[in-house]
Amino acid sequence: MARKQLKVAAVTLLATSVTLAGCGGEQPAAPQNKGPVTITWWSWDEHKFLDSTVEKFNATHDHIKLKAVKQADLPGTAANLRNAVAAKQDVPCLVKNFGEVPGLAGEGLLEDVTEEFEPYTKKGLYNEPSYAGAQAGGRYYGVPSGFNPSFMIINRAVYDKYGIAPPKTWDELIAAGKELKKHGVYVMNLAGEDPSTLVNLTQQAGGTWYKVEGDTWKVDFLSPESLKAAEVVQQLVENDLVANQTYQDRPALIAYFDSGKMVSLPTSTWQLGNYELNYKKSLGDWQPIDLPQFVDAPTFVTNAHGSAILVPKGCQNVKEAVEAAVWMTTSKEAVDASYQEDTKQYAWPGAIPDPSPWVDSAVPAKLFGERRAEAKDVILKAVKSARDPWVVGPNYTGVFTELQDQWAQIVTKKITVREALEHMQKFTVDDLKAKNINAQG
Amino acid sequence: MPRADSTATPSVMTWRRIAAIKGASFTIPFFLGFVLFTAVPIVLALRESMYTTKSSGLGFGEKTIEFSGLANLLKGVRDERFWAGMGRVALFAAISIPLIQLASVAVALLLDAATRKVAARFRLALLIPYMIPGIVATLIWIYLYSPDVGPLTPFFALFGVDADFYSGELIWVSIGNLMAWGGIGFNMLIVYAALQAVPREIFEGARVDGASELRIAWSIKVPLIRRSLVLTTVLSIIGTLQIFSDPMLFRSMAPETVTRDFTPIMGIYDWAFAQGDFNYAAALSIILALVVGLASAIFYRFTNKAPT
Repeated sequence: MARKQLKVAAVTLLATSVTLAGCGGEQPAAPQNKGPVTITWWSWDEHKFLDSTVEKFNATHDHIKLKAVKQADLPGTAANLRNAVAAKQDVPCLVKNFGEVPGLAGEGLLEDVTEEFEPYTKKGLYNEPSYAGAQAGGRYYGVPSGFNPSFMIINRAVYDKYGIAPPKTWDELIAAGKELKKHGVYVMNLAGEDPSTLVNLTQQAGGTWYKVEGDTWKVDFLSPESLKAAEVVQQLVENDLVANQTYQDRPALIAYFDSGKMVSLPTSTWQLGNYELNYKKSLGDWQPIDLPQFVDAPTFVTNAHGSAILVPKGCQNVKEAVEAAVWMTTSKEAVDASYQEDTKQYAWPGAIPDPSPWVDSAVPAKLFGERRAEAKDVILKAVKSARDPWVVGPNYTGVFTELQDQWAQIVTKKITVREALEHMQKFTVDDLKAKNINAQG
Repeated sequence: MPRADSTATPSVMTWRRIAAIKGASFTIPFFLGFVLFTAVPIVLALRESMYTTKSSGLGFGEKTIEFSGLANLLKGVRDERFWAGMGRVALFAAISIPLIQLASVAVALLLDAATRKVAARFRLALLIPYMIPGIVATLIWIYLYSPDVGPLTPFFALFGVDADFYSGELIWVSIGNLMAWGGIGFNMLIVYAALQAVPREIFEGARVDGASELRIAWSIKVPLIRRSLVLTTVLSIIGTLQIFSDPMLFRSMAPETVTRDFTPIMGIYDWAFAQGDFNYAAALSIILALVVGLASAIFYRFTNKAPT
């Protein structure tokens, strides 16, 4: 008897649970006629960055209220958003980007905001290269937040010590690396988990791994631009010119950069403050220089792939979300609100046509020593020469993790860059086709 | 007398029934937990595994969810990378589990031979690593192994040994050492408790017959604690086949060796949270559960038939 009752109880419970799990609360949109609309914004930035922006926004807007919800970190934000969108509950309206827009749109996480955002594109608020980073298949799934200018900083003291001139091209960088190697110094660092150097070089060469042709993805990891980038990486790895320090242990990494054993860093404005704060030995030894170019480049080009503030699928107030995000990415008020007393820096206004008023604050006081004045020109030249040819497909999130695995094998010389690209070509096309997406290549 | 019997019987039955229900009611919390956290997820995972999310065109439009029956499970059965991970972990289990068991039994036997006071001190010390959460333990060892800041590399260098704990050759040894460090204490405790339960008179008898302590340990103690050994081994098999957090953290130090699908659970995690394909991840989870269940069952059967 007891057993029977238990069985009945168990079956009932099971049935209820399944039913409950099956109907993941689809709630009707609440009417938003009365009072200001609240836009929830998820970001893993520290409170000191979020709070001043939110305060300023709310002080200057009546019909929209911005509410920041601090997330733990990038993976935590990704997991929370995937859950919220799947559950169709408590979906935020703005989220700091944790991937590539097409990859996230392909996952079904983002809302198409083309209709709401397009009017702003006609107002001259944004610089041209910023737009691509918020698009997937020609539609907007977020609001452009711009790009960070790419340049290089070198430990000039070490370069001078061994009589090596600062590199203007990637070939010169490789040659410098061969010279430095004789003295036990690495020219660059390629972390085993981060293939972004290959991605950035491909972008700088004007290449992209995906292209849309009609309603089909054309995948080409072996394009001439991609192979040009591959050759630079191959030379650096093959000749043992690079260190492989991981990003996971930040203090160890920064201490290594500071040690003088690794002397060139492709970098951007947002990283300079960190170097200034944590370098001890080499402060003042560094010099900002133009990003090395490919020898046959017709004009000076820097890679500049833009990012976006994401608008997730299920956001109830898309129009207001877009309005708030446009304010955050383009208004002088927002840039001013980002000022930090401790570092004396503004967040880099990467989306606007003319960021020159804020360049000076982006350059820290001691890192470059007497060469501090050179930084302004280097940064503005990088902004002016920025191009964004980069398009990625809807499966890029997964493709990138596969690329990470391949990259780790490249830097440890288990495979060549070309072999990795051949593998990625097949992997990407097969994966797209398995998802029933039109693909060629 | 017969009358008294006939009136007494129903009341006894009722009392028994009440007692039975009362007794059974103690299992309700367990069954509730079991249903909610084991049965329901299994049913849901099975259901998930039978569907496939399909895109169309360029892949940005609405997705369709199609019933695909056993297609995901069959794809999993043929997934070379998943089975490569399984093979990797199975080989690791086949080597590490016997070694860890041997060490646990040896330590338990030593403690059993020592006085209670000495045993109590060592027992606690040996159990401390088990009390440290797995992630924290891994972080501690990642530091110890680090060729840049850890103390082990310079220590081995003193003897002229160039020890790179993150190299492809040593990575499993590094993970195995970490698991042994955390696992020996727990296994030892169970084995030690079983040893303590063996009546001491048996040993006295053996000693009178002239058996050495080694002989007693091998021929009397070990056979008598076989059930506990089977238990700790099965728990180790299940734990090792599902190994996740240790290699996941080691990945940051040796990404060229510890790939994203290095172990079966890492592969499942990757499919679910990096590739976003929950259907296929569910199918692989079911396959893994079947493999773990099968491995445990085979081990049970094998050990039950083994001569004592």
